[in-house]
Amino acid sequence: MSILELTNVSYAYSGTTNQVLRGVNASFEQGKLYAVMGRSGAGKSTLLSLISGLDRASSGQVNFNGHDLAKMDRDDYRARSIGVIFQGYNLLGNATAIDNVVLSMNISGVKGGDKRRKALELLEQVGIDAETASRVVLKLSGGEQQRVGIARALAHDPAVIIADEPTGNLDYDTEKQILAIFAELAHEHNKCVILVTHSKKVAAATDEIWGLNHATLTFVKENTRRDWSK
Amino acid sequence: MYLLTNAAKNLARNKGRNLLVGVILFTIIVAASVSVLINSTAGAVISDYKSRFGSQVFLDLDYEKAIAAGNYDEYEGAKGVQDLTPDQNFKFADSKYLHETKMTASAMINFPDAVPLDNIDDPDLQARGYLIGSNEPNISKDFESGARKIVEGRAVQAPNEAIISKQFAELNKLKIGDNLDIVRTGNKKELPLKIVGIFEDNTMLGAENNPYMQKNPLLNRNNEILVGIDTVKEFGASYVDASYFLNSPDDLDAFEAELRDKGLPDYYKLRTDEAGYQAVVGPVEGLTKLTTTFMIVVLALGAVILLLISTLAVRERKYEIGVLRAMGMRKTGVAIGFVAEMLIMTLFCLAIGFAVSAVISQPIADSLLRNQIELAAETAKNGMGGVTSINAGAGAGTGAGADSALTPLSQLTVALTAGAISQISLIALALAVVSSAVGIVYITRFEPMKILSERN
Repeated sequence: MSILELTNVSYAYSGTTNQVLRGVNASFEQGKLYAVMGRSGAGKSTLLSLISGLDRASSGQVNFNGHDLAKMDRDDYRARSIGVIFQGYNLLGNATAIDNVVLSMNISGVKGGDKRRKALELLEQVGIDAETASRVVLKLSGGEQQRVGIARALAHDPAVIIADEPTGNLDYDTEKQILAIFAELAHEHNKCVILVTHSKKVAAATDEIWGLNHATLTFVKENTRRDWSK
Repeated sequence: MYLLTNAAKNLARNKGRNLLVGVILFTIIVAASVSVLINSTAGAVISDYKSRFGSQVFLDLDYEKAIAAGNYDEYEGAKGVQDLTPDQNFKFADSKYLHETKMTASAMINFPDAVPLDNIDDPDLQARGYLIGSNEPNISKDFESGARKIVEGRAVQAPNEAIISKQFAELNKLKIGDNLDIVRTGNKKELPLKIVGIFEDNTMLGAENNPYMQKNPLLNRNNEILVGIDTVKEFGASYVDASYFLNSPDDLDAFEAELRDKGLPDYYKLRTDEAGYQAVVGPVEGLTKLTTTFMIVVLALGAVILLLISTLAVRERKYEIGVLRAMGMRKTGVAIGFVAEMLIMTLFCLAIGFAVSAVISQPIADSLLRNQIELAAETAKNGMGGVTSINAGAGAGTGAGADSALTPLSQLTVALTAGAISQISLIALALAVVSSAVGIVYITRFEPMKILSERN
């Protein structure tokens, strides 16, 4: 059963008639890793903002678990149901890595337990050690910030994880590690993971590839699962 | 709760900006605190003096009205002016608008069984002494100044009790507990008095010891029999000296209306000691105006500077707002965080500001007050109004009289009162709101996607 479903979704920036997305129909399930591909300016980030509840469709419906996002409390949706890993990371630069993750838990209303310990565990899962976790984000490398972004997106255990160009700034080894994390989240933790990318290599590592072209999203192909540990 | 924790952490995360805002906030709070402290103290002093000077009422002859009514003549004087009778004074004193009336009443008396000091054999002499009563514990200023003092017994506490002079007592072999009969001149009204105290008069030598003094029992103050006001009232006073003190200076008109109803003639007017008040409080009022103006300027400038800094800070922080909103934090949550940051900083500045302003307010107040006094003295010297020494003047009529020479207040003890603390806290709170306002407006106007897309 699909957790995210887009029905005839169109989007145009206010004051313009030029549609960035036109009649988009798509369906995303839990336990799968998706790639949404397209050229720069094709509307990938717009699609991400609609799915993540940061913006509203001009027409059509984005449904999460059968509920129309337009009728939902989008703040609550962003806080609890979805984890977004932004292209520019969008972390709080003056805060430590661990504070970024703990803040996400607090906003989501995660109750009980030692949140700092849990945040540290999440950061360790994505390859950030305790010493790095206690450093201010601005002093971390691009790859480390990317990992902090992933840990923050996982902090509230969302059903859907969306990542915008998650490996754009990473070297080969780090890219491989990050993609392995996404695959594990989808396949072992039953998350719906959508990677917005223009990298064919990244797309090839996912279960399904969707293409965004001429403002329309179309299913491209299904991949065979890979063993990311190799 | 996490919003507060995050706000506190944010203060430490952005040290540079917060230090700048903190220094400005602290400066404004200290400047405003000093002004408020001086103002509130000066205000209390002014209010106290206003109540003292404004509440004492004198009954003066209104010459213009007296002349217009034909009661006063340039050559013949106050031919038709009726002096206020003792009964009128007693009636006037019985008013709900008064919290106190200081009265001294007197009557001329004779002693059927006693001999007065400096007595003369003059059949035309109608009286040989005075019965003097007062509703004040000390009866007269002589006892306050030490010119007279009770050397035996006690002060008068009940009707028909009396204290007499030591010389009078010795001459007539009277002692405490004895009775002394007095009669009124003319109507022979007798009143038995019980002697409860004996006073000594250090200024009254009497004619025997003073060759320049005419021998006359009425001129010898040791023949005065001192009693309570009710005793004189019962006996029948021939003269009353009264000072009326209003509950509030605002009651003046109502009190005047009441006195008119009770028969106060039109040619008497009610007067408060405005000149005395101005003389004493003038420099303090000047100080208050100065500090108020200073405070308004500081607050206005400070608010503008804080708004500017907040605008710049929000531009710097809009990315943070976008991130928090993208993470699902509600607008109210972000706003509460911003306000909390500002409140924490304000409270911190307020605490230090209280301490600093409490220390520096006194020397500042002293310096400013000294300048005001010098300015007032200079003005007085130039003939523009007396300040350093002013004859307040009791006026005619039954005015009890104010101090003849009034000096302005030369010291103001600045104190941190609950009222001042509340005022300063409110000002600080207003500053915090002003500082947070720009951020809150920004938070409510922009969506996270817009902020983040601008950044990216």
